[in-house]
Amino acid sequence: MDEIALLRALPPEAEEPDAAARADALRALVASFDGASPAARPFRRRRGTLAALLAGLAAVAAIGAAVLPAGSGPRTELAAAEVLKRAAVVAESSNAAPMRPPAPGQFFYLGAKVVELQGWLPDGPGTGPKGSPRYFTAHIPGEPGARPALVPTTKQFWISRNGDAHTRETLGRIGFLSNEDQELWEQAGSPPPFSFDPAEHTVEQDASGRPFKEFDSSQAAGVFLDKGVFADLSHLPTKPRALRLAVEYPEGGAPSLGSQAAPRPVSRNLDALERLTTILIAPTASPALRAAAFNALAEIPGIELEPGVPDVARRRGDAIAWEVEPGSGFRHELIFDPRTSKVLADAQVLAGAKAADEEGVPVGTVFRETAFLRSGIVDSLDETARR
Amino acid sequence: MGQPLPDNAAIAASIDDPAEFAAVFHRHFDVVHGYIRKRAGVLLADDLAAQTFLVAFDRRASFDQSWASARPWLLGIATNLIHGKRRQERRQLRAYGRAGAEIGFDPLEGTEARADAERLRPQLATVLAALPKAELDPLLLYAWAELGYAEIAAALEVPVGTVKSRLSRARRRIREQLRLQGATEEQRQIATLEVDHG
Repeated sequence: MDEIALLRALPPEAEEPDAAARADALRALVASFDGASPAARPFRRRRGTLAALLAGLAAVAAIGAAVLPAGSGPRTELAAAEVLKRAAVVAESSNAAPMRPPAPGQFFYLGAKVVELQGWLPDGPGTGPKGSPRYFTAHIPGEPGARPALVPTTKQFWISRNGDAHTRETLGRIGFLSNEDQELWEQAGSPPPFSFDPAEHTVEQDASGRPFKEFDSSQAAGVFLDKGVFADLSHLPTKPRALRLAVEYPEGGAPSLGSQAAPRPVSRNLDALERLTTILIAPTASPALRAAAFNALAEIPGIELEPGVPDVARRRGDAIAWEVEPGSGFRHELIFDPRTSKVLADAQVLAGAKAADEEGVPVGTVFRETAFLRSGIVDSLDETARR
Repeated sequence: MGQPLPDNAAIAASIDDPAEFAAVFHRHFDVVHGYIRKRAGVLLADDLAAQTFLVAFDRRASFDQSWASARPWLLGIATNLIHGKRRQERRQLRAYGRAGAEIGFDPLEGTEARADAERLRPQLATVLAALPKAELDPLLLYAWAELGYAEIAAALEVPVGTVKSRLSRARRRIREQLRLQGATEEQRQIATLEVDHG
């Protein structure tokens, strides 16, 4: 073998680029045709279908519309209700049994990709607990001079029957909202996010050089698990109206089904939304309960549909979305696969100018998103779920 | 439906009608992405490949219309963008030398050749990571992007003679380094005996 043959054998055969990466690149290019945003930015909510983006030249004219913010109002609410009712049918037809807690010696495995908007200070905000400058600050940029960064982490949980969890967290590539931010970060020595700072945590590197840490804890927090991963949901009703009342009045005192209900306060609707989405995510929910949750959501006002939304794991699904608090500018999105009704991701997005201004980031930036990857019962800490 | 425009015609048409430039994207994105991925790693490939086409679109008026294919021009832009990520590129190149890294053997190569490639991989990766970019660029455009001399010259905007001499220097440097570092202990002992008794 001569040196050129050796050289050609050095890297692995290049795989085709990911379809979503190609679509993002095309979208950025097409945006520049109109003198719009010059570069693709990571973890921005983009709307429109992948198929439309990849359809070639014919799609070019359509893309201008695809990057516009989703509409709002009665039409999108009606569309959301329709999609939720279809998802209910899909959910009910599933023959998947609700998950039972793992047997002694087994674990419930969950893999998730989490992206968080964090703030960091290019000069370092001072001294950390072990005498090292800490560049990344709290969850929210907020502080004067702080720059935003999107920190992706792959989280893997192995949870035993009593709720004890073994957790592995691997840091992904930090995303920046501008080239200037990225350059500032590199000039500062590419400091790690707080939770991966070797000065404050025991951090190792995996075979591909990515920082990771492993630890045991008495509970697996950070995703839906803090809401009770093995919660017994069998007591909840599987009729949509009854379920809605049950989640609106978890403390009891719900009006009877036949009574003329007074208009619900917004806060009660919001609580119901949060609890119904928890049911949709919970592995212990039966198909009938999930179907009831979808149907109950279809009756709640203020939910809008965003079709063809990508999650942070680059899968696409339909999203239902609502404002977390009226006027807050924070939008809760639940992205699900309409073919299976499975929840792909749970996200909060900065959707209003007020919230975006407070964080110093553009509207549409993900504030926090959890994409659920694989889950299931496994027999050891060396094993991960297949689906 | 008519024949698709060649790159130079599509780029010329895109001056007035930007949408024409999409044909260039569809034709070359995968190759550009693959080249960047090999040099700078998968983590940077998505962003740099996207940036390559944004830069190309901005500079389309300066494209040399005597070239029918935009591939050398695009790979030249990609190469310049990779220069801005030199540290990550070096890390990627060194990673190819680590034990357990995937290696793209040609299945038709004999087992001896495979053994050679496997044995020399760490040294080769080290030499590559240390090559000056003036030599690394033509070498990788030749070996990984499979461009010819004239295409590399167009990509790097240097004369063909310069490409040949830099390529030759890079290849010689690799051969020398591999011979020095790549020899087995047995070969070193034989060489020592030859010197001692030669």
